[in-house]
Amino acid sequence: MALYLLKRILLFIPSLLGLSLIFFFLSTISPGDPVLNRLESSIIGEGAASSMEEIEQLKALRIQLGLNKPLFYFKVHRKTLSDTAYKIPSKQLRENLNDLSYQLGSWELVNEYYKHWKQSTKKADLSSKELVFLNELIQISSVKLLKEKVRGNQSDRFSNLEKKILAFEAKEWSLENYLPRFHWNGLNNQYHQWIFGLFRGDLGKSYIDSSPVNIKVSTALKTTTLLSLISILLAFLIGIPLAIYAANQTNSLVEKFISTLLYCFYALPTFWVATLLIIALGGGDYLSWFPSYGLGDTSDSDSIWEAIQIKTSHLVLPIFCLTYGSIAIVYKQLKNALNKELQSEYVLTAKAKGLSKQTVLVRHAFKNAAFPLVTLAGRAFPAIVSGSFIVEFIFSINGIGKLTLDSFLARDFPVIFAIVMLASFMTLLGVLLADIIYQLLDPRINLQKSH
Amino acid sequence: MSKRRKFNGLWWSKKFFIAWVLVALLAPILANKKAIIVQDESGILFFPRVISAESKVLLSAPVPYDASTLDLDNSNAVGPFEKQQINSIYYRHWLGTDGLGRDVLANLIHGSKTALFVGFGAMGIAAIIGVFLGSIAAYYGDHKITFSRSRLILLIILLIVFLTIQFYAIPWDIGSVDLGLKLGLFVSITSLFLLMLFLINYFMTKLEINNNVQQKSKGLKLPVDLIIGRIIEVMDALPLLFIIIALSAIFSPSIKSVIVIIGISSWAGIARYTRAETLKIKELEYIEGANALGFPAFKTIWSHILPNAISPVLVSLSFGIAAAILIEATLSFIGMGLSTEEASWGKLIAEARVNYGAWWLAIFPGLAIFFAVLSCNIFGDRYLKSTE
Amino acid sequence: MFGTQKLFELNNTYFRIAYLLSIFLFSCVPAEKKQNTNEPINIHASSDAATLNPVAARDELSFIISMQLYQTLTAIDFNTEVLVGVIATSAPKLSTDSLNNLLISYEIRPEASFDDGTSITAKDVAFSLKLNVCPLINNVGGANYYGFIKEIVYRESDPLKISFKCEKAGPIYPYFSGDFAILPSHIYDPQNSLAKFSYKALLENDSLQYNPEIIKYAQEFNAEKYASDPNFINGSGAYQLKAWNRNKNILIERKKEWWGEKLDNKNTFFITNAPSLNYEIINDQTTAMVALKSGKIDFLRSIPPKDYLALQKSASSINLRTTSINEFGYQSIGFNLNNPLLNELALRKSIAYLTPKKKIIDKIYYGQAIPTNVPLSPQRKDLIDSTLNEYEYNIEKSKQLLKEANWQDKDNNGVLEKMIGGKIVECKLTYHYNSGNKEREAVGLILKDELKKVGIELEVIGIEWSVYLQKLRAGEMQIFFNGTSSLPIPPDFKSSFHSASANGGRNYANYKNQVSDSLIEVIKTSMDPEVRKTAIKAFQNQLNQDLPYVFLLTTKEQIAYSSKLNEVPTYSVRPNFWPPELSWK
Repeated sequence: MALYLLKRILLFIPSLLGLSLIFFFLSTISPGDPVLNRLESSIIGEGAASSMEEIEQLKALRIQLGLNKPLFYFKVHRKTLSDTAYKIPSKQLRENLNDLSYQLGSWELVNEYYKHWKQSTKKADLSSKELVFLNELIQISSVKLLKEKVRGNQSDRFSNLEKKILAFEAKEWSLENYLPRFHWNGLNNQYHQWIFGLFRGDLGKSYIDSSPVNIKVSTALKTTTLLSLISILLAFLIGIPLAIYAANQTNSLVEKFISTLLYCFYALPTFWVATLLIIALGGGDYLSWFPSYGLGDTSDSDSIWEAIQIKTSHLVLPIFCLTYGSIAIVYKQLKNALNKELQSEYVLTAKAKGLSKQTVLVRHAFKNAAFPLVTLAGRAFPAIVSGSFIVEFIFSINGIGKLTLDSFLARDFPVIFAIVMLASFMTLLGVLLADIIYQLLDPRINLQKSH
Repeated sequence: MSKRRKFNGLWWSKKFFIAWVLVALLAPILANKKAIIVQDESGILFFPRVISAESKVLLSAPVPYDASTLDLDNSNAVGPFEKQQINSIYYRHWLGTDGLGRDVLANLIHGSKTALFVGFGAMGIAAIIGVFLGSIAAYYGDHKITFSRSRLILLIILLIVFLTIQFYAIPWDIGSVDLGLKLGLFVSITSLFLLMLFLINYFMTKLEINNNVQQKSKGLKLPVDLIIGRIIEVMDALPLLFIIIALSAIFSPSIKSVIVIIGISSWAGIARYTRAETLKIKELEYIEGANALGFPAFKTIWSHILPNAISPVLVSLSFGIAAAILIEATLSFIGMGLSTEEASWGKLIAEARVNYGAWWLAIFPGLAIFFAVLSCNIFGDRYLKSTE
Repeated sequence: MFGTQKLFELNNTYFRIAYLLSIFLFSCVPAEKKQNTNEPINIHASSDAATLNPVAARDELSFIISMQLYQTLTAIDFNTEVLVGVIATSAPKLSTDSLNNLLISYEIRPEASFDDGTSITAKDVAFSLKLNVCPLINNVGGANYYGFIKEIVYRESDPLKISFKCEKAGPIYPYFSGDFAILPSHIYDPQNSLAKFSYKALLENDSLQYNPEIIKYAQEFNAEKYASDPNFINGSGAYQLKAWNRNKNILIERKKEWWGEKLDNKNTFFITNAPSLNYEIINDQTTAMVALKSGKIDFLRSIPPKDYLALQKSASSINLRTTSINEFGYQSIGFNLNNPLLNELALRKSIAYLTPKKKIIDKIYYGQAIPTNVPLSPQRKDLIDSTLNEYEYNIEKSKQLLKEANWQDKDNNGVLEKMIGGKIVECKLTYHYNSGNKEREAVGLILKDELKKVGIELEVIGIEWSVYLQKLRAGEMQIFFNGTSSLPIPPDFKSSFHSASANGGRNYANYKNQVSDSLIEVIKTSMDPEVRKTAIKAFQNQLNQDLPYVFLLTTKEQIAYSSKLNEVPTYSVRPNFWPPELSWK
């Protein structure tokens, strides 16, 4: 058993590492730039910044956020691509320069051109015409157009830069463009910093506001855990007795009613129910029975009873939305299992012995029928996070789901990574625990073999 | 009594399902701003792009609105029973309008198309991936595929060369290079690689036969089941909506993207089902017989294993369609996924959140989703019972 | 009760618990509390503050709250819209020295002090300005913003006087030079680390970012405690941070003792009516509205026009008051001039003639907006040229313009074509807006309908905010919606319309015109209001001819608040109200 457990836990590692790589990869190819996002949210936009000044701002921000480092341990790329391209602050610039180096069949030439260009922009007393010239120059991604632009320029202050450009020769085809080059970035890369931070328990800083991710995620996690625990508990507390009752009273009118009702519940979209509830009961134009957002603030002056009251009244609607679907699942699974058990021999024997159906159900059949519930509980976490996501969105509850959505929209990758790793780890753990409990409940199951 | 009731449920869901498919497929005829058949001097035109003043309209749609037609005279969410600013009863908004005067009925009709396409499209993709991976994992297990060492080394070298060329030599990132050239390079390199693979395999086999090498006993085992099992585990470990939100950040919003996104993120269940079923069937005698006779693996999987494994897959498919419809609606509700002018039931409900007096924006699309999901679930349950 | 009796026969404890729980849950309806004048006033905020470190504060809520926790030298009075002194006695005095440098001189109020009783001196002012330009410190764009100041001049013997020396003159410099928060240098920098570096070095010497002392100090100053910990937030403002629950609420409270109270002559920034303010963060507008109606929040702004009008009707019956005020700023539809189709003036003009401003204002903004056709707020009547072409909706003119420019529908498919560079090009365009913004979406859909009438096909595309920003800068859009908010200071068009800001900067239309460029330079640098006025009018005319944007309208800010509050004065300047002025009846 211990060996088996060790094996299972060791197998977590490739799964989690794979996941971290997938999400890291996704983060690099998804459109949108977190740095730009942050710069734009600044309300002092009218500060008379020209494009080049803004590039400097972007650079400063990238350094602050650690985004000026290479992405991964190594990079394999086209031989004609600069291996320091990641240092160029704007994505668009990077792409233009890549284009140029592809046409020239050499990145060294382009690198020099870029260096000269940068020096030229730092010259004192540039007239606005000269600034415009430099600005337009760097936007050009074709060697031909670049040369034309230089020839059309009257100012002679950038003779060095212009010489460089005029010496460019575009090649129709160059072998170098089709050869790979391997570049080792060392340990000072973004992925390494992040994954080792994870082991040390330091999840880094949010791109949005530079606040520690640890705090952000743990606060949100507390809220979601509260919600999910209550709703899982309620689903079981309500689903199990209903299922036992239904198995006991098969085909009675009440059972029919419960079954149909729960079946319909399962098909009701959560966001629809939540929207209707908030409009109808949340104090909008109709009834005002429950508060419509948040989980309620309790101050120190409130008595415990008051605090509980405030919390509960806030919890009712979200918990209802989270729970009604799960009740149906618990109910259906258990009822089916119970009905199967009731047909088995030992139940028939027990019945023949004169035990009442109810006793047999609760004492014997339930024990065996409870297995699917264990699996269900093990897999409940991801389901609840998915579910709570929409509920948190509608009820403005600051849990994991809402944090995930907000972070995705703002491309706040450190937060997203943290949540993804946490959620997947907990799910893997949940499944493992379910398997272990399975075996403890029923020694006949041999995990080593069945897996 | 009880039997008749259950039967009724299935009967009603069949009826609903047929109606839904019909409405979805006929959506452009049912709700369209433009006339459908027009006669002008050149003859009879179907779905004309431009209607000149002289032409005669022979048939127009029962609902004279597109999903995104703005009727600004009836904006600010006019209800079905309220007074509407319309020229004739033909232009009445029978189920009301939303905040910009878009017709709710037209949106319901075009939304049913979206739901249908997303449900079936996404599950089609998921089924292909899931069945493929699941059957392969079960059929080959951890021990069936073995490589001789030399073959493995050659394969790995070839793979590395192929991947580097594919990802770094083809100028995907260079805007000035024509897309056609990139794709041409991709196709030619891939076919070259496959040809090499085939040739190497052919000569190695010959070589091994000549040297009398017993390749089955020696060499390294490829743990197919273990690897695919890990992939399924990873997919299972992530809450589905995480993957979907992450992917929708990458794809540009459109119904096609939604189909692909849901498809590639929800195949894990189907793969698990197929794997379990295939494992059961694999043990049957006639499959072992086929193996002994040396039938090719894919043929065995295709013609013997899959037909038998298909019914449990169908069960998870019909539940999957229901789930896909829910996911699409949820995504549209939070404003992700679809493009601006594509209609969706979820979008209508999102409108209800902005116009909170407008019950018609919430009730009708909500019921549509509910019945669509319910009918798919009922089909799933029926299938489940029949397989048991 | 009889129904449940039967259920209990199951003898199942589960059932009992479930039953009790449900009774318990449904008996808990929140209790109404009595109004107490010391209670915090709950103000809605749509997103959380990023930081309360005033140097790093960039988003709106951070700014608003920083204005109450800290003080600046000067600020623009909301009511009179002129510069008034806060820590300084008055607006700065301007002079030029022998080398023709502009000197901006402030005099600090002798009463001004921090909470520990230390007086505010020129040393603190210099320290605070240095923070804003110091490398590695979280001061996004500070060096750009304050870069016009080249030197700080003050004498230890005269600690209440300080001047800033600028090489060039500019009408906005007096406004910018006094708008940073003053921090106590003896608390934030007890070791005097920054004093070792001159302002000029911090501003211009790039290599300082590798200086170990700067690295160490920046790390210390950027620390989370200075951004959110009530014990480490030290300002001279009237309010004090009490609690900050991220993404939930920020509570600030009036200080018991504050230097400003003793002042005789108080301007807006010394009013402290509110005993305590609680900024309640609710991201979702619908939820916020429900919260207002049920009394969970007392003050809500940025109400969508439609909800506002509905609220206005029922306001008195649900104990609410409503008010609205013209905002400072403008909304516009931009054309990317790098696009070959939109580069053609005739096409832009015909689109302008097809933009139904009146319909947009009536149907989308429900009348809560004023039309405009210049990049200026309508409040600045003296600067606006009233003789400009308004491009009033005129479909015939639009058709004529297109005809003259050779746009014709030859293949009769409903879309115009034209030969451009030897190829037949169809007139198909895209309109981008940030998804989730209902108004912008609606403007696009209305424009689409109108353009269809003359044969231009417009695709309306909503994209996520972060992608929208990226595409906007990279010039990957064709037609886009753009909103700008501004302040009542001398206008500066450099970042939005100068060719140096095109291609990657904030000149999203990529508008490049030499006449405009030189006018912009004059507007930015001339100290003579009359010269500026003439230039601004000439610039408007140039824009009106070139049409890089169709300037649409200026919105109104819609506000609603609990009638338990005294009447709240509202202003055009953002945030459109001054929180300390709120008070319970």
